[in-house]
Amino acid sequence: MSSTTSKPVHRISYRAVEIIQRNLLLAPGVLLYATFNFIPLLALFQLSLVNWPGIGPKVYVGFDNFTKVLTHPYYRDQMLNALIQNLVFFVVIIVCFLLIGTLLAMLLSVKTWGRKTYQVIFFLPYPMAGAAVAYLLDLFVHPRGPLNAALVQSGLLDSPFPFLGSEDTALITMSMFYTWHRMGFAIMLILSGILAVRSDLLEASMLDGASRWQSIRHVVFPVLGPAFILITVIVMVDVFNNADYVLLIMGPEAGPLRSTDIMGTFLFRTAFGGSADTTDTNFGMAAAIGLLTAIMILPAALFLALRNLRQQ
Amino acid sequence: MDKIFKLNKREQLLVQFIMLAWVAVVLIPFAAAVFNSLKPNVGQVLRDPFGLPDPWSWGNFAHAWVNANFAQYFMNSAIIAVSCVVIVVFCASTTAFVLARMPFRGSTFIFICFLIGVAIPIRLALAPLFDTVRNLGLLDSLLGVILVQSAAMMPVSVFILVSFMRNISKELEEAARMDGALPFTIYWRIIFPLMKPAIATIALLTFVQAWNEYFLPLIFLQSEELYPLTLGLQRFNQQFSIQWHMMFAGILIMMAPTLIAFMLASRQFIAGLTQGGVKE
Amino acid sequence: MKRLQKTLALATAVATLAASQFALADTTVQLYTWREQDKALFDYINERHLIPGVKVNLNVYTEDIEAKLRIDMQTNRPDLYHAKAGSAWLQPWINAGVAAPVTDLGIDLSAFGEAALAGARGLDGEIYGVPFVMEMEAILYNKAVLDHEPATLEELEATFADLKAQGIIPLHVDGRDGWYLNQVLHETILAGMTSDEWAIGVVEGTTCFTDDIYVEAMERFVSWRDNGWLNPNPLADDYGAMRTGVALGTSAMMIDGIWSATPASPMYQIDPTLELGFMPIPGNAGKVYGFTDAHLAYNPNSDKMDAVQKVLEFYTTPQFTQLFADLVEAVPASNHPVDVSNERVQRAAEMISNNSLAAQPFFEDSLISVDPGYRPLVSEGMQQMLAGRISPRELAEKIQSGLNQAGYVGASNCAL
Repeated sequence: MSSTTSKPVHRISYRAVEIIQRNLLLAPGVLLYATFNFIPLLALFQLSLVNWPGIGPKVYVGFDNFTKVLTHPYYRDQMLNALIQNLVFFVVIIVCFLLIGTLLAMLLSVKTWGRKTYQVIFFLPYPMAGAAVAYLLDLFVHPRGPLNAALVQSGLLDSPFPFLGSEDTALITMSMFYTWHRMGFAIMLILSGILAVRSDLLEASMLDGASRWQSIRHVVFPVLGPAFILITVIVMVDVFNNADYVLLIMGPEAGPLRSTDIMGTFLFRTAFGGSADTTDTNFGMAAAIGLLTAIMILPAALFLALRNLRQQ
Repeated sequence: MDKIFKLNKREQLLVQFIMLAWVAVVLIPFAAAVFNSLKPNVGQVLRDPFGLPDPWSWGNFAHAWVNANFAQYFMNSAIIAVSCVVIVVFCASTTAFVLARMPFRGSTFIFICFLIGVAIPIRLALAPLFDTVRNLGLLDSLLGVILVQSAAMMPVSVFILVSFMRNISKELEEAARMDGALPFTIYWRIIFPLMKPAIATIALLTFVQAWNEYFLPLIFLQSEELYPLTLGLQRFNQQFSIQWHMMFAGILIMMAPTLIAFMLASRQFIAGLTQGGVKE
Repeated sequence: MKRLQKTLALATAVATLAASQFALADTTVQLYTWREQDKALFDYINERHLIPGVKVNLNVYTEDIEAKLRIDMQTNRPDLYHAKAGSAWLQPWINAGVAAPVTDLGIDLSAFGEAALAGARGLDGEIYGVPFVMEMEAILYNKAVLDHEPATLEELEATFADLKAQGIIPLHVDGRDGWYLNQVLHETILAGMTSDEWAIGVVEGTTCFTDDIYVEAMERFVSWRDNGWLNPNPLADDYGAMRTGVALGTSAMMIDGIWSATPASPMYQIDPTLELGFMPIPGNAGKVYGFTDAHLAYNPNSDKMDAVQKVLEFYTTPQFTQLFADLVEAVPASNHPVDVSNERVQRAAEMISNNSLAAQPFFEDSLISVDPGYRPLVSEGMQQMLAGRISPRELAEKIQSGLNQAGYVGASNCAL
């Protein structure tokens, strides 16, 4: 369709084909997402208005599930507790990621001996299945496990330290598990940001007589923004929604004394019941909790995401 | 960076010290798992977790392998993870290409729908999702799990790809368009190659997520022949939870394939990632 | 007894013969359970075709059984399932139309006593399953470490002190698992150290958790912790760690169910020569906690109703009772005479029928159907008490006030 067609006709047909192709390109992803994700998500609103134990008839209760979660002391206290602990969990992880991750990524970006090997080793835990990591680390920090044995035998401690057995340390230990598992990913994202720094800018800054630290601060850090934001968003969404570690290690009761309870475990317990009581389950209330969680993190996630986009 | 920052001896030592410290953090749990998985009984594990096995009991691995039917679980996990990667890479890259480069009325709306999916996890909508899968006749099939898990990875992948794509220059593409190239060609010849680093990122994210997923297969699979490794390991845990040496062996068996695959592909993986998942 | 064994052998032979002809026509039914220990039994039944024309496929989910059952019911896959005792557990299934009275299928329940049937009874008084196993909770001890059974609390405590001096943990408890804290630990303490009258009263709303008898029982238990007779950091140990300790002999006793002493118990993987004894906590009541653990319920929408009926009928036969005692080595729920050569099973059966607490608060509707009910209140409270965060008196008040607020029948008698 070149020489014989006149220019305007050619343009229209190009445009038409373009639109068809565009729609064809868009279709698979949109269809997949809509069918298996977005449309079920919309049905969540409906579900949050019923009382339903997961089987049998659904009983319409209006906004009862929301009022119960927000005002009934038994549920409200659990919700607040889970929310605060979830925030702590998130902050500990993100601080570790950004501090240790940036430090290690920096060191990997300069000429150090064996840095290729270090890269591989640092990344090693990340591809491991969460279930395997959870079981492994649970055994590792057990009072009779390797870590405590080493601490006691070397004389650092008199008696085993109850990492997961005390309500003061269990949540922190859980966030350390998460950090141990995912640090490699944070390092790589930050490293990729650092490697993208244009060396001519750095050279110029060094020639201007800036110290190393000043060059890093003024030339490298600003470039790392998108990486930091990406890590923050991914981690935020993950820790507020998924609670696989706690579920696998502590079960839905999120012990000791609910000290590892986060939104994911609270929601799971509401939908499927805890190990202490399997009779009291309500998918409707779980949907309400999910919606409330989403309302809380959605603005933060969207803000960060859009900022990330707009910056570029 | 390395050209600019030359380290002197003392700095090099300090750097090595920090690096080795983190190496220790990463490797010691693995080492503990290896040694303890070779001990003949749980008594030895508990008496001296860091002691050497006596005698070295390689049979634990054979015992775990046979008991747990890991071969079958492994196959299923591999099928699920690889299919998810292929589907997500294709669907997310085409969608992201259109949303980022060919905006039309409604494209922002679609993008916002994807962003909502980033923030609300699909497991919340389990009940409606379950209905969908059942109505399509996909319950208790690997295909059902694959589609559900792929769809679950779409939002984050589209988000990463779109934000990446906003950074690559439009020059090549516009030139191609001037020459009359159509979207298919632009996508395949120009955009896809340019997106490779970001695609490596989402491929890895998807693979790891699909490989790790415990909850969705638990819900959508019923026959044990279709179980992936995560469910298999939980099965194994039910059987051996108080036999620590066997647990360690089972955990290592589960980790081994990922470990080997990663060792073989580590160069490309890391190269792909560090080529700039988030370039400026 | 001899005659029974002969009949059994004969029946097996006939069944095998019959099966060889009709093996192809077997209907497979899906049975959902959390009871890993019944696997060997069903392998045996299937191999020998003891239920003519029916093969039972066991789907075992030890942790997520309810969730899995709920989900799979949506596709009508389960034909039969092991149900937990108590009407509170049954009610949602009845409401959903996936549980129905076994009498609808004409199952003959004459072989079962009232105590066994109680666990399968719904709120409407109908029987929704065939009870098949009685369980018992008590002190389980490693005979290699402890060679005598203390007969009083004072003797028990002297033994504790003695064991501690030898560097052995006297009593190991699991402080991590909610189900253990409320269903096992708390209830076994009740059975040993309160009284029948008190337990019946609590169910009816005439006695209270704040009564001295309950508070003193809990104070006694807490004093064991304060004397260092429990494992250090109970909250760090889960169920597996507790059983490992006793199996290895580094701990002498634990409070647990006799299921841990059946051949399928993983404790014997650690030490095949392990011998476990069991006894009540020798306190005021000195009883064990016996209960119907499970009954076989069915899905009335199953499209294999003939096969379902056959399996239910099989569960009521003397043959099943005998097989269950022999292969699972647990206490059957029916009154069929069984030839129990196994001394442990025999003793447990005697203890359950003669020496168990007269009421089981854990299964009582008056306590658990309120929201939040007895179960979460007890498991939270027990964990707090083990951690030293609340005193026994505060535990009692916490449970009582929680129940009162939720509309417990004894709220007016037990106002705080």
